[in-house]
Amino acid sequence: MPDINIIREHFPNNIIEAGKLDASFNIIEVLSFLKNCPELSFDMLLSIIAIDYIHYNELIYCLLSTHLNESIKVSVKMKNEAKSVTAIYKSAYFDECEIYDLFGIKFTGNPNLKRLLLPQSWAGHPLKKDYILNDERLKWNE
Amino acid sequence: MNKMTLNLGPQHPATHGVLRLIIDLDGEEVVSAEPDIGYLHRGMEKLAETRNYYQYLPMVDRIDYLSGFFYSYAFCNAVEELNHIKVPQKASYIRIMLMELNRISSHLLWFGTYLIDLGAISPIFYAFRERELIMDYFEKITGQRMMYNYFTFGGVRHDIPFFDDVQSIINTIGDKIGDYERLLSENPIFLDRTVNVGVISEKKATEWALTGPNLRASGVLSDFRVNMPIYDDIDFDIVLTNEGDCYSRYLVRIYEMRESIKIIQQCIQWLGQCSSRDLPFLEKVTLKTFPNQEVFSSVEAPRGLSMCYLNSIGGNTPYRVKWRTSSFYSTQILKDILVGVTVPEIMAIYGSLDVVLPEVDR
Repeated sequence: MPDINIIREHFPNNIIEAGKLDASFNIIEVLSFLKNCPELSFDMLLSIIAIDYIHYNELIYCLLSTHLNESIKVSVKMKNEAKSVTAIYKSAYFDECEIYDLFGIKFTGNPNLKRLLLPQSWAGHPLKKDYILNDERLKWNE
Repeated sequence: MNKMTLNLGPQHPATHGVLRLIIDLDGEEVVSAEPDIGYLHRGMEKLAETRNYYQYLPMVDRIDYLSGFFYSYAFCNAVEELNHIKVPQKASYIRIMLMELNRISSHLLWFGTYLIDLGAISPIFYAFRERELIMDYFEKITGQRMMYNYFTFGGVRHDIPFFDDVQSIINTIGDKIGDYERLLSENPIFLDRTVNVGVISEKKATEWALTGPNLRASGVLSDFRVNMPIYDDIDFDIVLTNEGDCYSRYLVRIYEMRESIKIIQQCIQWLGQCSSRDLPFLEKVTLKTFPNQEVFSSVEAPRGLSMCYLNSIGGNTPYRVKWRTSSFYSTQILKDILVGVTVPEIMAIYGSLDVVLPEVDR
């Protein structure tokens, strides 16, 4: 974990729990601060992880600072709509398209949100917990 | 000039898989490029949710069939962290040795196929001749040539009896890497095709989240092996070049093979000691219940940083598994770096990024 005090000073209302910085209400501000702050300089967005908790969804942004060789996780909890971070980290584009494809989460501000892995005509979002497994082959060991 | 749209792939020999590139051309020059992926999507992450941990373990090798050990390691490490299992030191050394051999075999395959992309046919025969030694060794100890299923939760499945083989393999490969360099590193045709082609600046590499050799070729000192506890006792150097072109990506991989040989040498030394012969190679565990927790387990695979995110809410199946694979991001950057290059350079650039499609689509 990097120098937490700098983050605490700038964002006193954001909670850090279980090694993750919660930024559900100000993700854009937090990420642009983490990227541009010279003491932290988290210049790489490794990945965005989405998890469906049925009542809400969580996104975990994994950031890496190549200068300090440190990483941090920023989490966002929301229903079905999140803010796109492609303006801060270009690599977020594919991640956001994939999450839209598999979870149906819409990213406002993404330049061209479309299905990435599945065919454009696919119905439903398979990684959601309420997705019906209509393929018999998946049920063989249940 | 008339604009032309060229549809490259998905069945194109030089894409080494099923990548589709939609390229707009102005004469010979690329105006825009759009990678289209998903032709090999197997739903690895969804399949994890309907299987228990032991059933999912053999599948993770298939995420990237050229470096299966790394994905096995990432998943085993995640489960071990989740259950606080301590892996015996001997198993850690065996894992490192096999992973580094796997890195060499993966880089050798890249070396051969990349030169085919550039029109040089013979290097692949040399590269495969040496790769075959490693494949034979893997077959001897794991029973498989590609999908090993050899690492397990708490260690490795069997003990390794054959260390002399490894010593002779790395001696041979060490010599042959010198041959490859004599063949290519100053070859004027090869230099023409690669020097100053597909330059990725340091800034571009980080903002598109390149990792591994591609990132180090752009002059960013970042190797996840320095963060991995199992590499603590191992002494190795990080290979770094500054130019960021196809030629420096070639150089990084060639020198990384030498570093891997250095690491394997240290592992053999440790494992070959008489005192290590009777040490345990597997911590026997019975996994029935899992804690309510999430873990991030990363590994420096041949193509870059690979991460396994594992979320458990109890029970014997994972609640969510997510794979961060480096080729996914190496494919995305094509959108940016292909603009402005000419048609023959497309494959020189794409090949130099060492993309493996099953890893992109998962």
